[in-house]
Amino acid sequence: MNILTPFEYYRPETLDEALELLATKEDYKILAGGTDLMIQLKEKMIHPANIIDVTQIPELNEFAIKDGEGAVIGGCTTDAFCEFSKELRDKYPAFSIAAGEIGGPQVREMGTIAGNLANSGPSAETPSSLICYDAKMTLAKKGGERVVDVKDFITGNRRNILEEGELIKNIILPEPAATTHVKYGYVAMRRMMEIDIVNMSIRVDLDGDTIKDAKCVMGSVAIRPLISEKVPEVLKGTKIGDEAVIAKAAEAAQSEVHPISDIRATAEYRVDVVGALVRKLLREIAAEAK
Amino acid sequence: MKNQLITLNINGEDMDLVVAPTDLLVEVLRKKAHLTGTKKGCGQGDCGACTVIIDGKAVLSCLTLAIACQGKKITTIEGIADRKTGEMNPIQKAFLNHGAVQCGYCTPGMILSSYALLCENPHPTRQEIRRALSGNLCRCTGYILILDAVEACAAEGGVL
Ligand SMILES: Cc1cc2nc3c(=O)[nH]c(=O)nc-3n(C[C@H](O)[C@H](O)[C@H](O)COP(=O)(O)OP(=O)(O)OC[C@H]3O[C@@H](n4cnc5c(N)ncnc54)[C@H](O)[C@@H]3O)c2cc1C
Ligand code: FES
Ligand code: FES
Repeated sequence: MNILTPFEYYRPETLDEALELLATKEDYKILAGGTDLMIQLKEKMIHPANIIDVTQIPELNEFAIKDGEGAVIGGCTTDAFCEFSKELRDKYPAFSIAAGEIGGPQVREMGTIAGNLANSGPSAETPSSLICYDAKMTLAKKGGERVVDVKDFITGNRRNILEEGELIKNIILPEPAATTHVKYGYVAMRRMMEIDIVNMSIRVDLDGDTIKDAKCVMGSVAIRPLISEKVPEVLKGTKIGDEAVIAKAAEAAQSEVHPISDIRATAEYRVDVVGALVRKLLREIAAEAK
Repeated sequence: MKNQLITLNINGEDMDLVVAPTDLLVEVLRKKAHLTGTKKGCGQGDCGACTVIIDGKAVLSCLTLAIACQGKKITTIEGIADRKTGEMNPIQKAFLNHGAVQCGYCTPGMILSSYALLCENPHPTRQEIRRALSGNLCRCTGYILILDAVEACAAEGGVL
């Protein structure tokens, strides 16, 4: 009945214990919800000698959100928690909605935010909104911690900057200003249980009805989340909701992506979807800002 | 890799089981605890046939290591009927009364996802029911009757 390659299983109860294990065990994989890792084990894509289950560590399960002080989300916070937390839904709606679009309900109860980031899949649901909210993450290893920007974390398809012996402790979301608007959108084959053809988050910072600053981050169009350079240039200094500007922003984003054709969509269709999502999200922000 | 003796709390009872670290919960439930109500379909997280409830949440036993479930409360389809009388849970009765069971392969998972929903949200909207069951596939495609059953169960007093 065993279809997995043998491994030893460890379940540290404290962060120190976990970091010690990570520092001393060679050939390990960290296990959180297992919704990506178990599949990789079953598919024999990986053969770790040791599995280190980090779900019981208190620091990875903390959740703090305060008025004016942003939020700190432990790495093992589940996708479902982020979907259903009213506080997160109110303050970081684009992120909460994105977390609620991962897999199906059972996958979201198991899957964690650190797992979604560390898996670093090109179509991952949560990175684009986290990057738009300027989120940071705390990475811990024996002997020290570092805080990095989520935007610098993923470097390629299933590649990131995690070092040997390091884990994601938490994700830090700064307090958004009342004039900051972030929207998340995606296109996929069905509404549930799908992998996105393209997903996208757009952030707009307003001064009255003038766009002071903007960000556009796209998923599933490159080997890592693609941060647009041209969309902010097009948007800055313009009035929110100006259809001519919206059309130009959509074209700007389309000119930057070089997606692939795969089983889910052709490259050409993905480029169309990029334009459609830019228009949709900018119109949603304009409606919200009114 | 050695086999280990672990204790799992399944349907309110502590069971001592010998498992390898690689053993999946779905296999341990079916082959070692002899609780064959839990089904295995895809083994990939897509179908929901293997759904069980762990600490109140509907999760997938095909993507869960049995050894990782120590200290947690596992509920399978065998565990929601009345323990003393054996009388079915209202959600089980509702599935029968509404003809929501065809071949039955998806049924344990469907019922446990519905049960977990109704425990947390006793009066869900039709849309909330659809969303809560979106991780459970029925290849006999009896979805409408399943949604009707969950709706009726909620209206008639719920699962507890
Ligand atoms: C049916 C199905 C549908 C899915 N649909 C989607 C989808 O639509 N969108 C989407 O984005 N994802 C999807 N996923 C993937 C997955 O559910 C998410 O990426 C989830 O959030 C991963 O979290 P996890 O805790 O299960 O990760 P795990 O599987 O436990 O781990 C994933 C990776 O992250 C590493 N890791 C985990 N935690 C840490 C940590 N704290 N520090 C360092 N490394 C860590 C692991 O070593 C592993 O490499 C789907 C999965 C399934 C099975
Ligand atoms: S068998 Fe677990 S989801 Fe299909
Ligand atoms: S009743 Fe046959 S799969 Fe649902």
